[in-house]
Amino acid sequence: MISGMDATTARPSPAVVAAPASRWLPAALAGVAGCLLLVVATSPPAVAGLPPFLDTPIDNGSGGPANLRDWLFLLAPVIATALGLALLRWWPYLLAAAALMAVPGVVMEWNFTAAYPWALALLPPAGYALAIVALLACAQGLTRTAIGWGACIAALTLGSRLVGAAMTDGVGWLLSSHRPAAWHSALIGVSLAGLVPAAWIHRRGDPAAASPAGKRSWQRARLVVAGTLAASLSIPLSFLTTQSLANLLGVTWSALDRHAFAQTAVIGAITLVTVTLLAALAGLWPLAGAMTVAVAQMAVIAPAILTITALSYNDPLRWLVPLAGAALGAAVAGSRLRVPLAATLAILAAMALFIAYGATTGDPEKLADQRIVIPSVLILVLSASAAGAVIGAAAPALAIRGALPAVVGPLAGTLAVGGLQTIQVTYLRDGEPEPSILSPASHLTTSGILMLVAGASIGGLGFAQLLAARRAERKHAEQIRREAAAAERDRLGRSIHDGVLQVLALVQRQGSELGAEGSELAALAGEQEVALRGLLAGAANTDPGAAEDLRGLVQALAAPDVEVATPAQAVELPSGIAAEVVAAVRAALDNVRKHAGADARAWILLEDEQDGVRVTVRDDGVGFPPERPGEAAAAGRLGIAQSMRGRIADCGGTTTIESRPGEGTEVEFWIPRARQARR
Amino acid sequence: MVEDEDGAPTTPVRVMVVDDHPIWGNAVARDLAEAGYDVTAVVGEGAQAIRVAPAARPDVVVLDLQLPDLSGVEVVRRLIATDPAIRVLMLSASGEQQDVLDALKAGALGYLVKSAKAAELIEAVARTAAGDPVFTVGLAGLVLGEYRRLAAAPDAPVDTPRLTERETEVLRLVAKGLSYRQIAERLVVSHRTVQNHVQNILGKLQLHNRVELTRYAIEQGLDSPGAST
Repeated sequence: MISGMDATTARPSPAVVAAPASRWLPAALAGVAGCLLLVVATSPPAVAGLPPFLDTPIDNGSGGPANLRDWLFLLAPVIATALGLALLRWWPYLLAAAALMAVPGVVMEWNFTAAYPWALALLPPAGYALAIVALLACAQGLTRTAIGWGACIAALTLGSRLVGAAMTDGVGWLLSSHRPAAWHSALIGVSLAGLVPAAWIHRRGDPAAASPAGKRSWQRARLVVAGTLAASLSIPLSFLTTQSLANLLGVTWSALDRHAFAQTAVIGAITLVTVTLLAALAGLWPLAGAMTVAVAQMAVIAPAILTITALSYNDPLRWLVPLAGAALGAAVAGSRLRVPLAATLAILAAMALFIAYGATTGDPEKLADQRIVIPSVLILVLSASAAGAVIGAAAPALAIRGALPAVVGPLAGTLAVGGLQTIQVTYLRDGEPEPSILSPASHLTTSGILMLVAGASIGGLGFAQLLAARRAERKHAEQIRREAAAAERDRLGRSIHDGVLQVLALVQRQGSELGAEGSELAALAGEQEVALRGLLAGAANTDPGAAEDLRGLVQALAAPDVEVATPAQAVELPSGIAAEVVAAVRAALDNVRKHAGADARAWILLEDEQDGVRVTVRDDGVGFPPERPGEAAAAGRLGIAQSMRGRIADCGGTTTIESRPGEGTEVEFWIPRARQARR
Repeated sequence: MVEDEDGAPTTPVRVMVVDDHPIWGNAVARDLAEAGYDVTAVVGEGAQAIRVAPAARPDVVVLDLQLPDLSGVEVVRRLIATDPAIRVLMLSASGEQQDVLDALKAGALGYLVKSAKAAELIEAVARTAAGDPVFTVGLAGLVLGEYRRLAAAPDAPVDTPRLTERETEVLRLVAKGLSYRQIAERLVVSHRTVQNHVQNILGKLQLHNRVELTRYAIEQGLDSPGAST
């Protein structure tokens, strides 16, 4: 089982979308190259304690940056993040810049003793921040052409950092004992070479990476602002000294100083709340995405610390295991079933963590202390692949909204750090804090629970995305159906015009000159012509609730003695209201037929005035005197009038009836649009 | 819908009939000839009509909008380009649609449905020859809608044509089926005033259409005559 695991050949499965390879291959290659950069960035040769990715940046209240240099070190990654988020479409060049920014660090590795200007040391952390954003932009662009590869690269942003982190420890570099510089130089060289095709293909920028969702620039601006603010959060927090925090909490300095975890947890809680608000500012989907990704990242930290400590220093297993986990996670993310598989992996990982906790009788450090290999390997492969798969599964939903770089980059990153810091309060044991690298690992159940939460979140996110996609599809299908119906109507209309209507018109015209019988024939032809024209115009039939073109419905009421005038553009009303309006117009026409006189004619005028629709029904019949409504009521007109008025009033509209004896009657319906929106 | 106006013209008016249905075209030509018009040509295609027009020198073209080769708008535009004095009366069997409106904007003077009686057609030709627009109820509705659409456009330029209140009133009454005489009575103005209003309504729309086309041509770098297709 183990050998099967670490010899993992789980290569990312090919893309689901059948785009030609030339379109996605350079970007996928550049993505992998970018992952190599992350490996370099997260494996500095000599670090005290944990490598940067696993170390939660605790700022123990230094009182804020003291001089320009401190400020620059704090600001460099923030500026890099902001620039990256603003220039997403140039991601291949950003990645290349990030690779070049790693060079001073590697030069220092080659020659430890030489003196370098401190300003050069600004570059590697800024490059690291830039690389993450640019890599996620690459994944975002890829989801357009090859969704599987996009999700894969997104998953690998976590996996590659885990691999890098596993390569270091407090003592030295593992691969070639004391000369990591050669490896780093080689990796940077390879990744620069891997970037070349993408840089060439996207030499005019990659618009898909920028914001595939839409053109509304304020939405992008929201993401850039939220991401930058999240990345810069450590600056205000660094002003929070132990003393000021103690004042804030109303406890003594010494009490707080003794419980360093509590202090960190308070800062973490502040971080959590702030970043959550920032993510909410960016939108609902970014908020859900950031939380899911952050929980997955938090869950993987404790197992990673435990396992990396358990595997001995010069055993290649130590970095092969996270590599296997990363590859498995990427493979799951690349498959069609990324959401259910990611949730399953998360549940399996949680089970493994709970079992490990139980099997060590609540003391998981034993795994590390006694260098127990097989369970450690299992735990890390499952946890790393689950976390990667969750990120990969969340990626498509975020990418189509253009939010992937900001959300999985600075927002989720800072959120995860805040969360880890908050969890630290659980490490407190009464009176006896045990600050140790293994402190997080001793609470393995927390990670297990987080894993379950991550599994549930990705399930929810995937379901929400499915519903959103269904809805969009339905809308799209409805649109297509309508267009097809209109096209079919036009086609029918054209052919009917060329044949039937022409002949009917001819019969009508010539027939009236051939005596009584011919006139009858002409009248029949006229009726049929009008009926046919009405049929053509009114053939559209839509779902209830959908907007309906009132023109077709009204034109269908045309008859030899009823003429209809409408605008050329569609007059859309919700179909329920449109039906009411047509019923009212029909009632008005009935009224004309019953009361206006035998040879009365009628005209219908449909007008679309921006804030509403006006329909007028006029006849040239006998009319009635307006000052004698009682007479009209007696004649039975009022009842019909009431039913018309009722229908229109139900739609929020008004009805006006005007008449004079001998001058016909004019009924005007006014249906305002604003009122309908509220209904 | 069509006014009762003076009868046959004193000097023969030259008419060209363009219709791809020979029975129909010949029937119209015969009716017009009987009414004293000089029918100089009956053609079945748009391109042919444009070719023949300089020789036939019609005063009025009776044009079926649905032709096998060219769109009605295209025929109207090219006919008027050959001779701006040509007055076009459109006929269509399929009811008032966008293409009728487009052809009207391109310079046609009037419109009649094909099922109109022979007397109505003859009268409409007479009015077209006199330079009076012939509006059906349906066409009035389309023109009204077009003015509303232009005015409602979010970034309507300053030169967007607008109807005066009185013009809107007149156009709405036409669209509600009132004759010019009835409109004149109702508004207490002369018959001629109503005619002037309708002429202005059409003129503003056609002028705007020409301005728009010119602007479009300049924007697209097509501002040499005849460059548009």
